[in-house]
Amino acid sequence: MTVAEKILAKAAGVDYVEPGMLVYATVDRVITHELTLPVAAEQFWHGYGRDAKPKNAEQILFVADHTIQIPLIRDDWQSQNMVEKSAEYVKELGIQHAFLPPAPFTSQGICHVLFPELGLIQPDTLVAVIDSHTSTHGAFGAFAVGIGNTDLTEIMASGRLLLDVPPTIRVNLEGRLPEGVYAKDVILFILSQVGINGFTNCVVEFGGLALAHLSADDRSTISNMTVEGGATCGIWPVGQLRSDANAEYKQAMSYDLSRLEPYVAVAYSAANGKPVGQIGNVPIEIAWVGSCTGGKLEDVAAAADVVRGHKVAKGVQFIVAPATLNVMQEAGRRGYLRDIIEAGGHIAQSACGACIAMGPGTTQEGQVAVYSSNRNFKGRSGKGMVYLASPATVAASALAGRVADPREFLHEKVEAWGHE
Amino acid sequence: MSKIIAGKVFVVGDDVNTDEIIPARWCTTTDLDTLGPHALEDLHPSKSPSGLKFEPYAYDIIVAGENFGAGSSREVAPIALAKAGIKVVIAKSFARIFYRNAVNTGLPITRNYALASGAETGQPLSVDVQSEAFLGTMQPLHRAILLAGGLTAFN
Repeated sequence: MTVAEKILAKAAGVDYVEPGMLVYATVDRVITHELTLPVAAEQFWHGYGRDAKPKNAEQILFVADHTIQIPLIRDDWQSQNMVEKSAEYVKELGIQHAFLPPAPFTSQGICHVLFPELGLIQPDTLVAVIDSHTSTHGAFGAFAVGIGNTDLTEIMASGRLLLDVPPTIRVNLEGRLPEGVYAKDVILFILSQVGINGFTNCVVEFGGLALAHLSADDRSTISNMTVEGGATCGIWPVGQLRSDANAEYKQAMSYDLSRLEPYVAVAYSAANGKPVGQIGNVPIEIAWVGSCTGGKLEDVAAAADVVRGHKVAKGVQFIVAPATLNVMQEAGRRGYLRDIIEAGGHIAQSACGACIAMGPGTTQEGQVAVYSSNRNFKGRSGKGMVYLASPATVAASALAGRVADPREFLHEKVEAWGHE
Repeated sequence: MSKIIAGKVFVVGDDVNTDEIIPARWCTTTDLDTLGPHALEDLHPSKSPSGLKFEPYAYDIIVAGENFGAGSSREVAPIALAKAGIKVVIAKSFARIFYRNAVNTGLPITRNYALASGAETGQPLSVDVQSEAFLGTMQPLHRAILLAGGLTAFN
């Protein structure tokens, strides 16, 4: 069996599963947020009685993360209503792991970064989240699956989730990433090869010698965006949790990272990636580093490394939203936030923000932006056009005022050190 | 068993995503009836072969290309379509979570594209959503959930 099949077999309490089987699997962790919990809770009470309690309240994690920055860009009282309802409902449902806002319109962080950071996502477990970027948690050896409200309702009722065992596609990554090229470039490159439908209904399992050189943040970035190819989960072997030698794969592919260049995905698809050198002259007005994909500590570090000692181009809004309060605190302690602010950047609250048109950096009609996030569908982040790139490429673009190669700025720095 | 749904078709292309089906800006609510008027509001014009904009309550059946419902996990995507008067979705293929959410919420969907081949926006179409032709592409358990009217009703 593959890693994913082993986890599903264990969760279903059976010895063996194979693709195409349907299993009722016991869920180890469920994550919900303020856009979904109120709807799911009301649906749960409607179906099972107003006094019903979830069977597995101790396994449910809640954080308010999606709507936190809304009041900075528009008047939408309903979003706060969703947060307040959530706070009330987590109490009624007995959800103890509720990461409620410290104050109105604040957040402790984005769920896909916060919960792994807190050690609440463990290998060899089944994780279900009402969010498509659930694929992220495969980076930590979990089988993680995006679900809807009705699924959550039924998990609360039974503790279990009905799942199709998906086939696994093996992606081998070989070689070491060159300077200025990052995990985000790896996944944008892979998506440009397989397309927006290339992984639909499949698990992507990563392997190959490059794994030794990719950090937890790198793996998280890559797993996070496997869903942009339609994947159920992007999973990595962890410790003893490995696929059997005779495991069956639907497909296998192999990529050499040592010759990769920074990649940029042109609007309106994450699979529209091209090497940055082929993008041409694209002036930008917004450069945004943030989201579950591109707001982790190493992402903020990469952006700070590029802008340190430079100034943001005139007419560009450069915004950095560290993904969690912990990332914010550590980035501050290490001086990254100061580097970003001294270069002319702005720091925003930890939240999904501009990625879903719910915070500063959301585009207006005619605006062109470059984001370190995951999705650039038309309308998703406002009325403008969004290019997707690594945090370093976003930072370089903020300095150049156009989509730019981060190596232009990193090379300058290497030369400067050489003169000392 | 037989349940005929007849009505007006709206045709869309490949890779219609959930941000197009129901933009996130309308999702800060528990009042799902408010979603209908905004269904497919942000559909990219290149994905409507007729050149027409989708009008809520004016159509009954969506006929789509590959990968319908790509993107987010928002269950309000199939719900918004249903609230806008859509009773059936026929597509060449669906994105995983959309498919799951449609079955769970009891919105009849099928991958048997032949049922709609040649359909054009505005034309009438009639499908039997309980026929073998409609349900045949579906796993038996999914079929049972859909026939029950959704996952909660099934359980």
